Amino acid sequence: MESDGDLNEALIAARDNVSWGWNALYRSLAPTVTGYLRAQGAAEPEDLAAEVFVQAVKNIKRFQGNVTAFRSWIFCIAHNKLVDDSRYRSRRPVQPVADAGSDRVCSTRVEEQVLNNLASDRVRQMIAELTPDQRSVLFLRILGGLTVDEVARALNKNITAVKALQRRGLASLKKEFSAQTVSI
Amino acid sequence: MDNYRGNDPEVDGIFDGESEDAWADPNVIRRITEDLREAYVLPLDDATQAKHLAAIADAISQNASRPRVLPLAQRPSTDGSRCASTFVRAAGSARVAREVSTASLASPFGARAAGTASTPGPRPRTPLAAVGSPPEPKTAHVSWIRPGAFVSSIYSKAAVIAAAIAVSASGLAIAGSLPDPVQTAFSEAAGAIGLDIPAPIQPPAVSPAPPREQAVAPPLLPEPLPVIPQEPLPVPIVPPPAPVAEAPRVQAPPPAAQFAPPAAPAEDLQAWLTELIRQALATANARAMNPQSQPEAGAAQSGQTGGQSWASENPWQSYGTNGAQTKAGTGSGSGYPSSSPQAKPQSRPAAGSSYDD
Repeated sequence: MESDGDLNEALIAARDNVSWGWNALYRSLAPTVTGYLRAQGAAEPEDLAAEVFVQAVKNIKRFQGNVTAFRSWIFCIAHNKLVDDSRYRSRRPVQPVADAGSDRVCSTRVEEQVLNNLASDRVRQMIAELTPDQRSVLFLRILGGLTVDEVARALNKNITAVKALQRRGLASLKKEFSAQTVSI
Repeated sequence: MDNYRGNDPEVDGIFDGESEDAWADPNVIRRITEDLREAYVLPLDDATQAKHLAAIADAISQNASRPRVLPLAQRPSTDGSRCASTFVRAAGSARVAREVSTASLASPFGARAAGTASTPGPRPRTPLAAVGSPPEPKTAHVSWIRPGAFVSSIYSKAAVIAAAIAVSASGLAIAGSLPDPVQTAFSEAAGAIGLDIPAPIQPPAVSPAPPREQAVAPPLLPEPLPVIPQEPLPVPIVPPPAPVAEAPRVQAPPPAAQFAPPAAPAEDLQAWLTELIRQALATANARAMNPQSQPEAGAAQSGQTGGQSWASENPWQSYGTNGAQTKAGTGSGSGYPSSSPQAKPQSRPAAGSSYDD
């Protein structure tokens, strides 16, 4: 993870359509953006993340601000892309087909894959109890590292509403986490 | 967590794993945060990153090759594009203004629009449509309308208004409340397709009104009365000089109808007066030629009869002598007009003689 100073220089270069600036911004933000999209249930989070950055390149002339604002702006684009993708897929449902190559890859690291799946299943059960708004707020706060103001701007909500969603979401997560710990 | 009343920095600290208290069990939230990050935030493999960076590089190259649209004030105006785009923009089409500013049409059109005072450009001899690139066939573009586009378009509003007018007009036509010409048109149109819409009630037939000139202009002058041919008045027969002892002949009065005043006031009255004066002059001449033929008594009688005849000839004068006749009943009046100075002294013995009878 690069520092904010380096990312500011990268942002200045990106505004002038310089490649290394965009490469630096992408390497810094792409994992969290992809994780946010994946946590929100996007079917192809990597492709969607690429579309997010391509859209950012096209609209970089409209952006004004520093790296913090740029991070918030990127997640705002990601959220909008996610909404568009969900609408698109609701109109054109696609039946997934099992990839034969994935079984071969998974077979090499079976134990690690099993543990990841267990952790992922436990987290999925926790976040399944959240409402979509609570999920968006908590994912942007936890995965994206955005502040309450940035989350409010990204979701087009006021700060009070974001705080309320955050509080209720955390209470629901704790409740589910405690229940799972007792059951385990 | 349920009893949590902490502020946002405390929550931020919990998310970051730095907060140790301010929550019932911050470790729980920390573990949840770590689980979420471990579950979803994964490093991208090199192939995916290379693919994404290639897509970003393509977007950067397209972004760089895209012509940068300068503000209107910063555009060069050597070929008149600024004037052309300003002219078209003032006409209300920004899209055409952009096309004009970039297309080859800008040169001749802009030069004409600019009207450069120093060296006006030559007038293009080719039509403007042939200056630019040939237009693409319309079939190349497939217009696709969004499902909600028609609802929000002006055509939908016009269609709704037209439908509302049609429905209301049909209702009024069925009720027979439209104006008569419109109701007649609706009735005929509906009758052609087999619908029964009442026609307006026709008023009873009235004779056509006379033309305006005849109705407005009544005749100012009465119609000329039929001209009654007037026979020439007979010249009063002057009795020949008779002996004194003979009784004077009574002059026959002319027929009353002949001396009746004409009904028409203008020409007939003038002719009647002229004839009356001429007759009076003739009578006066006859009296002047035979002064002895009028004895005193005869003169009285003739004066009386003359007065009566004159009065009968002149009804106005007889009207004026009514008072004299009334006085005559008292013994002082006579039938002569009071305006005649000569008749008055002659009438007194005649009146007396008449009363003696």
